[in-house]
Amino acid sequence: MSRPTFLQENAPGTSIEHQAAQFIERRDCVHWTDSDQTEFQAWISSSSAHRIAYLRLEAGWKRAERLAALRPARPGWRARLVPTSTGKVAAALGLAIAVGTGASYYASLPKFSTYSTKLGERETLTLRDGTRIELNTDTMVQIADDQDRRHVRLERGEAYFDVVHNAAHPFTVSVGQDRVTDIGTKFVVRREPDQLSITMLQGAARFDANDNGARKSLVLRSGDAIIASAEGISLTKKPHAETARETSWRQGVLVFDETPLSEVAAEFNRYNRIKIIVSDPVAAKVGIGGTFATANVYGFARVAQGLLGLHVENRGDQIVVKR
Amino acid sequence: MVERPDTKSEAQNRCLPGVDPLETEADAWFVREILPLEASLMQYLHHNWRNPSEIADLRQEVYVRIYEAAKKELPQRPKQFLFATARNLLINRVRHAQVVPIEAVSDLEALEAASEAPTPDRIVQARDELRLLQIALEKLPPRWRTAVMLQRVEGLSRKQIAERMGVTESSAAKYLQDGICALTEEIYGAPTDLRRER
Repeated sequence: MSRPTFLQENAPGTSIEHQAAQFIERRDCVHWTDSDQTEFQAWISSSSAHRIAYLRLEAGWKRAERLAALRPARPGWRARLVPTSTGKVAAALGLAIAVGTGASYYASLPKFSTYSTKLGERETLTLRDGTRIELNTDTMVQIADDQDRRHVRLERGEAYFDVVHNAAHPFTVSVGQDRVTDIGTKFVVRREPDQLSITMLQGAARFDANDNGARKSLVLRSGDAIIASAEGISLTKKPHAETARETSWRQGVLVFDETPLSEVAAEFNRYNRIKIIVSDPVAAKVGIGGTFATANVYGFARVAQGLLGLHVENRGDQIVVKR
Repeated sequence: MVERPDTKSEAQNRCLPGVDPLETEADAWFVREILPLEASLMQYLHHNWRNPSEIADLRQEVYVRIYEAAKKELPQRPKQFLFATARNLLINRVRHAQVVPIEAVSDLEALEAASEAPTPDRIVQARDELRLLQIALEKLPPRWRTAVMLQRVEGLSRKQIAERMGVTESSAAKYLQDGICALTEEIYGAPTDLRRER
């Protein structure tokens, strides 16, 4: 049997398929004029082969619209995400790489996407697999979610992790050279300039520390709390009430129970521009109990003055507490 | 015809006003019933035809025959109809060739005996759609993949894609056109094995 003409036109760029691709590309990427439309109509009407080539490519191309889900702030990332240092574009490309594309073109672009909260803000990020990352005040994380692994760098601040466990797709949080790898977990990691603390709320995780060059590995279980600093690493067991108190920020509140005023002030100061200054060493040791909204620094000041009988002085950006 | 309910731009909205409405039933049928069988069809053609460079042509011709028939009346059993058409085409190709390529068909008797090709498991659930697309993308050459990503993820124009990739607009257009073809080939034509990739 004789072959239809189109079968001979299979040089790249001239095949029917490539002609169809040219129409699709022009329609979606440049202004589509009436004469384009006329040309397209004539082309698609001229043979079933043209029509089928178009239908097929259009169907594939339309399915690829789902890739838009890779855009941050789109379905895969349900939270409102504010990429900061790398910018929106790099964030989108960062996720593009996270798809697992080892593309050389992407190689020079950052692999991690950056998300951050400002002072007093909280933000929940949701990964495609349902893993949730709640950022506390003044926190910055970098996230890479590719096909081999999920990796979060905690650059600053504090985050709560509720990890959907997947052994084939491990989840790791790194703080400097220390790492926490999920074994099925809810946990909180907080980074301060001179120390790292990790509190396990549920499940287990492996903690790999870099202790002055020596690697140390520990399995953390529910209730375990780690504090790592230049002085070393301590592991303690915390009662549920205490871990609950430490994570009360997730509900936007601070819970204190006989907490020294100096610590209370430090906690409030993490969330607010207005800082509480405790200048009196005796006042600093006064125990405070109660629940306060993280932003309610004046409410706290009133309580300190009214119930505790401390002297509170309002100086604009500072609230100075004395005995 | 394929509708684009979630149009992102005016350009994309101008889909196919020029398409003959009488043919839309066959169009929709083809996309719905036949394209999902493409991987099976390709497997069948590769299995039964020795010259790989002719496979794309054979597929095109099978599709044309199927589509022409569907315009008259939609076949009730699309899969059976597709493979019967493919089988007849291969047999005719061998019989009518002036010089019979001795190895053209691996086993003509077996081909004639086969009533229906096996269908590999290619049921992709909705939640795996993104995963399938990602796997397909990974197989594309980097520049094509980049152009596709910039268009489908970020919705960029030809000019913007060119700027982002640091190439001319005509190169950007070419990358995207090639990317559209290659991605479609991966989505429909390539055997899918999600497990292997996990």
